[in-house]
Amino acid sequence: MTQVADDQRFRSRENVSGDYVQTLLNSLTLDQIRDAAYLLAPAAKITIRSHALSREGIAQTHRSNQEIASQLLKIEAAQPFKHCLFFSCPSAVDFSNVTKQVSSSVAAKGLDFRIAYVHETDKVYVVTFEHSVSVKEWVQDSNEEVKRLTTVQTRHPVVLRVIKSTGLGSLNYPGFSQGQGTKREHILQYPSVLEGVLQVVGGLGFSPRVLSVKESLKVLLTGGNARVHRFRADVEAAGVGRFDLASSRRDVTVEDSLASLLKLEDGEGRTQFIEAARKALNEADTNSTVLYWTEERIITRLRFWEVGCELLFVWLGERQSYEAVDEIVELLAGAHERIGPWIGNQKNVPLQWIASLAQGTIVKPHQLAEALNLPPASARSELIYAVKAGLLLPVYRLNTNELIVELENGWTDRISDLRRLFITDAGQPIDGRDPSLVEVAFKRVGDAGESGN
Amino acid sequence: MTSYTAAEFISDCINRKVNLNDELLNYLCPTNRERLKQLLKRLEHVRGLVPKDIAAQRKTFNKVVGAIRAHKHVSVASVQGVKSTLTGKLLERIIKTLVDECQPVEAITNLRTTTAEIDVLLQLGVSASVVPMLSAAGTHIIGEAKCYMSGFKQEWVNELSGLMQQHLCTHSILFVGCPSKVLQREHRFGLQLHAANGHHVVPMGLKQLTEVADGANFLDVLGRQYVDSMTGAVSLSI
Repeated sequence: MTQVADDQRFRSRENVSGDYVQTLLNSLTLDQIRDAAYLLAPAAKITIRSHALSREGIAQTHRSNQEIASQLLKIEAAQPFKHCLFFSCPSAVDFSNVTKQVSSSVAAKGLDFRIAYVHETDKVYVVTFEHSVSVKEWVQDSNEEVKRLTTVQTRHPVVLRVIKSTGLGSLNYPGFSQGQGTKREHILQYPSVLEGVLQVVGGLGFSPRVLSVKESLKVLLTGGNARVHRFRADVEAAGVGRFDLASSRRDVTVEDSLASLLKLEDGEGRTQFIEAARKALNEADTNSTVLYWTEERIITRLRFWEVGCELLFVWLGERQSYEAVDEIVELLAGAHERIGPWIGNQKNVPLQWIASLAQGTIVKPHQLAEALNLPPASARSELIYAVKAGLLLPVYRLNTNELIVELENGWTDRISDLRRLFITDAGQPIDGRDPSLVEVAFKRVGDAGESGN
Repeated sequence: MTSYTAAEFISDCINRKVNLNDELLNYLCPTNRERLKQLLKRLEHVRGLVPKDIAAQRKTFNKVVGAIRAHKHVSVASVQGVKSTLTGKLLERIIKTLVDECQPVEAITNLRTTTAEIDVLLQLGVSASVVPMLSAAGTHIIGEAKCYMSGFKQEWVNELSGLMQQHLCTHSILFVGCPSKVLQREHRFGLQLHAANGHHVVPMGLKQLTEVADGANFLDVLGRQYVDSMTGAVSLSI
């Protein structure tokens, strides 16, 4: 990406030889640079009007290059990038050993990874790695008849985050382009770079393990889901062909769009077609899939590599935050934890059992416990995860078998309708405002559009 | 066969750190939105009054009696005082309306303690753990109301932080009545700095009150504002 300002060319993430601070400034947005300037010198009231003037502006803080670089790296690590590869890190780590290796470089997969920044809070470990990427572009010469091949080195950061409570790790990176002048055989592939970083991460004591969420994701996308749905899919079926399908609206699933393409009327036929299409897409070999997350209102493209599942986030104007990233990663990892160990034999897996329920089926905790011979607490835990994952919707009714004068007392997802005093036909009051007098069950969600919100 | 009650469901969600949906939050903390809208409209009306014009209207001459009509508040300063008192009372009523039927929270206003007077004390019940901020706050949260038209001031946060120390409180809400705006960088970082020292101040302004009046749940709005304050989000606004 290039941007011209004040007669100076600014190239995103360009490595400026001999000026690491300038290299970091090239890697950040103007807002981030302004935040850094404020934090370095709150009383100075520094104004930075453009990227071209950022070096001059940051110098007004009168702090050392090391302090400035440290602050810039801290700010860079606080906001998520577009790409995220997640994995599990089950073992505890001695972080003081990692801290000692700041500014050192480790070679892996033909690249040199420098450990630029390390940080630990009570919730998370953060390590920023950086490596160089060569960019070759054809640049017009001044006489306009000749183009010259120009090589520029750019900085590519990869931020490792490990959440202590869940043992989930992620590698977050902005991605890079190597320019039109780079030959195909010299192009760096993301899986290769990530494999190198993971080797370094392993060497620091983190023990990363791949999480293959492809199969568990299919369970989440079986039937309807109020939390996430697929609106683009690139699949292959052996002996049939490759299909790249996309819905025009993110709130409409691919299967629904296919049904509309075939002009199927609303009714049983359309429902059956959507079910069949969903099953076919799940059973095909997925190259990539694009999901829309209804709570976060963002899109993620998932690619499945040998090193793990990579997410590309499209924020759609929503606030970029690691809270959203962690929520989605935890959900996917949770599905893997429940399904992964039983791939190929999922009959008695609670999440699979729940996903295979017919749309609209009501299930109570004791029914799940009896069906799969589970302890009551485990059954409740599985049902609550299924609610979180969007497969089930909680439904409510007053906890009584007596007739109630003004209420049918059927299952409803609107618990606020029960929030008042009712009288049974025997004259007994039952106060819906007391949650211990309201019974809860769970309903299998239908197609996209049905939710508790 | 014993039924699975909503109380157990809420408890399980809290233990497994699952966010409750809007429907359940509205059950736990409904808000009388019509009343809230009325109060907000009244607040806007009162703040739009000009003390100078009102004082001038009151200085009328009664020709029958041959004297200036008597009125309790004739001077500009006096009328301004009444306006400020009314504004403060309206904000207090707004805060009470927000949490009136809220199960997890009970509000006590104008509480005088041995060291200070607190505008509002929110006592937290068992089900308060449904919202991360309330869960982290423990037993109580203090609230301060600042209904000035001037912009957000860092001094209010510093003052509230001091009050929190005196009352062994880790979380507080700063209700502000100034015009809605995105908070400036120094205010965002000021809030983060206090949070790093264990004093979490969550600003709530007219923007958030209007969101609740328009249908959002108070606990949900409070939760989002809390996260934005802690993370210093660029979009943090009042």
